[in-house]
Amino acid sequence: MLRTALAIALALVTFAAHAGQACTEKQLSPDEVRAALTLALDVEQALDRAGAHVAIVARAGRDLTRYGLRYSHVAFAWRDHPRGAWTMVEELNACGTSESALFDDGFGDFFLDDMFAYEATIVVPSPTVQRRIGALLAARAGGRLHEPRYSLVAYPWSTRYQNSNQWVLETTAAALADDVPGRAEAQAWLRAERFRPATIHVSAVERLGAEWTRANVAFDDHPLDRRIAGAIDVVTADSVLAFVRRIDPDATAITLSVGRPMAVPPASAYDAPRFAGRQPKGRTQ
Amino acid sequence: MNVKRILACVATAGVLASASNSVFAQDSTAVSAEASRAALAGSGMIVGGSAELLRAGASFVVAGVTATSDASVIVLRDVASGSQASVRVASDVAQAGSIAVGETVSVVAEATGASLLVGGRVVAFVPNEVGRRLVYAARSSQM
Repeated sequence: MLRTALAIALALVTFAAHAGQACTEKQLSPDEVRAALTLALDVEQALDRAGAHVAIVARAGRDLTRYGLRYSHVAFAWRDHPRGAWTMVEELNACGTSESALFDDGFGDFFLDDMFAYEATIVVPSPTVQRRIGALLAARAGGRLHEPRYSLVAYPWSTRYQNSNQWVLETTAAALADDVPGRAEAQAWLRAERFRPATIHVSAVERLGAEWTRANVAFDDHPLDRRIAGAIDVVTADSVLAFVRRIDPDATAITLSVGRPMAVPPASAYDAPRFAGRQPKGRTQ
Repeated sequence: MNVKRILACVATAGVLASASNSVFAQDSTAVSAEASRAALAGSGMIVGGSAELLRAGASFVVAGVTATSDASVIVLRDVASGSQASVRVASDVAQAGSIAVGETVSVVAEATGASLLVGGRVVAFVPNEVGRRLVYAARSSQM
């Protein structure tokens, strides 16, 4: 009896360890494929119209509005990729494991997923900033800012883990600052430039649950007092966009959507782009 | 007593797993080029006849529906010319009974492909060359 119960317990805990992880292969509907490709083309055309060659693009892959967040993931859009086409350069987690890698993706791939909303915000940096980020990517230097040990909630001021938005942020820092050979120096520069991470509130139950059941979530890089307080500081897509717009006042933002726009999170929680110099464009089905 | 403890552990694990799911919804997972192409193929892919037939405003009649284990092939006959095209779609489209022989299919052409509509419902989206060009995935040259 005891052995049976133990076997059931182990089986269920094993199941729990895999539950809810990404990489479930959901079949996209024709409407979702249509929306993904339409938004991908809209982003490409908007970048061309802006005369950009480097930009930061945010997507709404998951519903994070209850945390006051609009976007869930950012990547570099790079026109001069060696393959000869606009390409997203991004860090991605390998199917819920504790590892990540850098990928070069077409704009279609960027949105061909189970999106929460087919909406993107593009931040087009000033020509100087674009040139510096483009030079770093052309030198294939993004890898030296990459940490393959992945945590969705990686602490912004530690180099133990890294999340996908953090790679974009730290690579941007390395491009803009002088003498930034690695992540520690990039974080020092970001701290000096007063980068402000988001703070999400995570209860002890939620934290324990994630630590037990998810290989891609770790809290041991966070300071103990913050952990106990349930205050988890993290680099979010929104915080990356807000930071780039603050340190590069000539950057512009464009928001594009296909289908019904997202409900806007509370203004107090979301550092929304002001769309300076551009009007947001909406597209309806 | 031990059994009760184990069951309590199991229940706790379930609660914790459930609690973590809502907070840590993730969006940074690698999707291969194959997965993206599979998504396109599942949405709609010409497997017979010419994609040129799927022009804006075209009207078709369903001439046949063949279901396989993982997909269905719909044979469309162009009302104007009588030419035929075969489109592979996800199996559930045919299984749901949403497409039957003799039904009218209309086409809405867009920049990245053509939507096929039956009774106002999109049953397939067939990417064109522009749409397919947007699909690419590889390990980064930055590594």
